[in-house]
Amino acid sequence: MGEMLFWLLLLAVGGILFLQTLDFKVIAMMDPVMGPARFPRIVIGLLAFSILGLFVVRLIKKERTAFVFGELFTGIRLRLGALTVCYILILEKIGFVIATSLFLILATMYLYFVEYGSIPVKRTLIRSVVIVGSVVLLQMVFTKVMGVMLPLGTYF
Amino acid sequence: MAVEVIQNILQPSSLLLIISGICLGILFGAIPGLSSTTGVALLMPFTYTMDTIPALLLMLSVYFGGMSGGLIPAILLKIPGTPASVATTFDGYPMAQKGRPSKALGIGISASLFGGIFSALALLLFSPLLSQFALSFGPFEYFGISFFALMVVSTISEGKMLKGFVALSIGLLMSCVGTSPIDGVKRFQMGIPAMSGGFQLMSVVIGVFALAEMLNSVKLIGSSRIHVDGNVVRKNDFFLTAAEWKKNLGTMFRSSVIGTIAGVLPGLGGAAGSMLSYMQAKKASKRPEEFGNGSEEGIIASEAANNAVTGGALIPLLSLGIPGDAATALVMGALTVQGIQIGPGLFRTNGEFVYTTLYASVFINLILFFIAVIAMKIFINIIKIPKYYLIPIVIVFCVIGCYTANSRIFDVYVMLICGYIGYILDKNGYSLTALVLGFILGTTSEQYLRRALIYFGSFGNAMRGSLLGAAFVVLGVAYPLAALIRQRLKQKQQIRAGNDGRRDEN
Repeated sequence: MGEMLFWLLLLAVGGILFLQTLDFKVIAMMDPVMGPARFPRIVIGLLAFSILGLFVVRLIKKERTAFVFGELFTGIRLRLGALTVCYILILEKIGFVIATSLFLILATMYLYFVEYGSIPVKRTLIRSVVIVGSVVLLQMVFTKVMGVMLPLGTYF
Repeated sequence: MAVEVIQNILQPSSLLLIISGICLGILFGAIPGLSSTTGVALLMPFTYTMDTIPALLLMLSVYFGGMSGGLIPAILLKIPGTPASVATTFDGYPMAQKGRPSKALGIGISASLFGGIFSALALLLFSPLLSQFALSFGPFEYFGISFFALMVVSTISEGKMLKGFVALSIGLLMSCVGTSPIDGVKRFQMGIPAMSGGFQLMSVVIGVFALAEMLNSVKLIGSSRIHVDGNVVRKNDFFLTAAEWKKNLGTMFRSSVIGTIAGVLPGLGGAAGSMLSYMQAKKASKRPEEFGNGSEEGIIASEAANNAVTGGALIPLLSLGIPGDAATALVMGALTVQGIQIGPGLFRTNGEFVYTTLYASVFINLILFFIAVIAMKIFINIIKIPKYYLIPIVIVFCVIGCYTANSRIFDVYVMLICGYIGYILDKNGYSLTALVLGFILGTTSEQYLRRALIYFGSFGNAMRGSLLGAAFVVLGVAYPLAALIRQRLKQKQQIRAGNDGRRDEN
C-alpha cells in the first residue's frame, strides 16, 4: 500500500509539472521544433509509463514487499534527522561555529548513549571542549587559510 | 607534455596530497558503512580553493584508496568495508580464519595494484582515442550517447528496470528545474528565486549518496564495536612470490578486464564488477571447490576487479563527460565548481589536466600499494573509530561541501531533501545512480536533442542524417528490450527447473 501511495504521489507531482509546462513561453524563432516544454513532457510521460508498468506488475505478481519509509521517522534516524534539520535551519541564524559545535556535541552525545546506554559526564565535557576547539580551528582554516565563506550568523 | 605532467605529480606538495588522500581513502573504504564516495564528498570543500591539479590529485587518491580500503574489514572481520568488497569476504575471511590473514591481505593488495594499474593503462590508452573520436560528433551523436548511457544505467539492476526508469525520470525532471537550454525559459521555479539556477550538482550528489549513506549507517550504531588486532599483520607475507604471480596472472588479467568494463558502463560500479568477476573466476578455475573456503583466486577476482573499476569509470568521464559511478560524479561536480567543463573537448581545452589524470592514475595505484604495505597495522587500528563520532562529522562536512560551493543555504536544504529522497529510493530498490546520471545528463541531453532537431528539422530527419547518432538511439531502445527478454527467459528456465525438480521428487 505504501508503495502505491508513493507512485500516486509521483504521478501527482508529474501531473502538476505537466500543467506547468502549458505555461512555458515558446520562442519559436529560437527553437521551432521542440520548445522548452517538450523535453519535460517526454520525461513526465516516461515517469507515468513506468509507474503504470509497476502497477500492472504489482497486479500480476502476488508477492508484496514492504515499502520502506516509516523507519526514517522512528528511533535513531528520527532523532538524528531532527538534529540535522535543526542544525541546518539555525546555521545561518547563529553562525557556523555555534551551530556546528552544538550539533556535534548533541549528536555524538546521543549516538554514544545509543551505543553504550549511558553518558559519562567527565568524558562528555572533555569531548565537548575538543569539539568546540576543532570547530573553531576548522572555521579558521576555511575562512583565513582557504578564503571560503562559512555562515557567520545573523544574531552574532 | 608528459615530462611536465610527471614533474607536477612528483612535486613534494603533490606527493603529500596523494599520500594524504590515499590514507583518507583507505580509511573511508575500511570503515564499514562509509565508502570512497563519502570520502570524496568529505574532502570536496577543501578542494574549492585549491588549484585544479592538486584538487584533482587529492580526489583521485581518495577515490582509489577508498576502493582498496574495503578489503581490510572484508578479510579480517567478514564485514565488507564497501559494497565493492562483498565478494572479498567469501574467501578472504576463511583464509584469515585458517591462520593466514597477512597472506590474504597481501593477495588482496597485490590484486588491487594489478587491477588499478591495468585500468589506469586502459584509461591512458583508450581515453584519448575515444575523446578524439568524440570530437567529430555533432549534437545528435552526443544525444544518442547520452540516451544510450541513460538507458543502460536504468536497466542495469536486473528485475528492477521499471524502478530504474522511475529514478531516471526523477533525475531528469530535477535537471529541468531552472532555465531551459537554448531559449532560457524559466521552468518549474515554484516562485522560489533560488531555484532560478536549478539545483546544484553538489547538493544532489552529496545528498543522494553521502547523506543517505549516513542515514543508513545509523543502523550500525550499537552493533559495530570492532575487535581486531593490528598485530596479526606480517609485512613479509604481503609480497607475492614470483610463482604466486605466475599462478594467478590469468585470474588477475581476466578480473581486471571485467572490472574495467564494469567501470566504463555507467552505473555498474565496483560491487557488480567484483561479483561478476568472482563468478567468472569460479567458472574458469581448475579448483572451483576451493571457492568460499579461502581460495586465492577468489580474493584476486574480487579485488582486481573492484580496483579496475576506478580507471574504467574515468574513461567515459574524461572522454564523454559521463561519470561511471557515484564517486566520479562527485569528482565531476567538484571540478565543475573549479570551472572545468568535463566532456569531449577537454583533451583539447585542458590537456595538462587530462594528462595529469591519466598519469596520476598509474602513480596513485603504485603509491597506494606501498602505503598499504607500510601502514596496514595503523589502518587496522584506525578502523576502530566509533560511528558515533564519524556520522555527525560526515554530516557536518556534507553541509560545508554544499554551502561553500555557492555560499547559499538553499543548496544545503536541497542536499537535505535529496538525502531523504535518496534513502527512501535506495531502500526500495530504485537506482540512485540512474537518478544522479539522469540529473547530470538531463540538461546536456535536452540541449543536444534540441540543437539536433533545429539542425535537422525533425527527429526522423536526424535519425536518417546521423547514422552514428541513430545507432546509439536504436541501441538505447534495444538494450532494455534485450534485458527484458533475457529476464523472461531466465524466469521460464527457473519455472521449468522447479517443475522438473517437483517431478523428480514425485
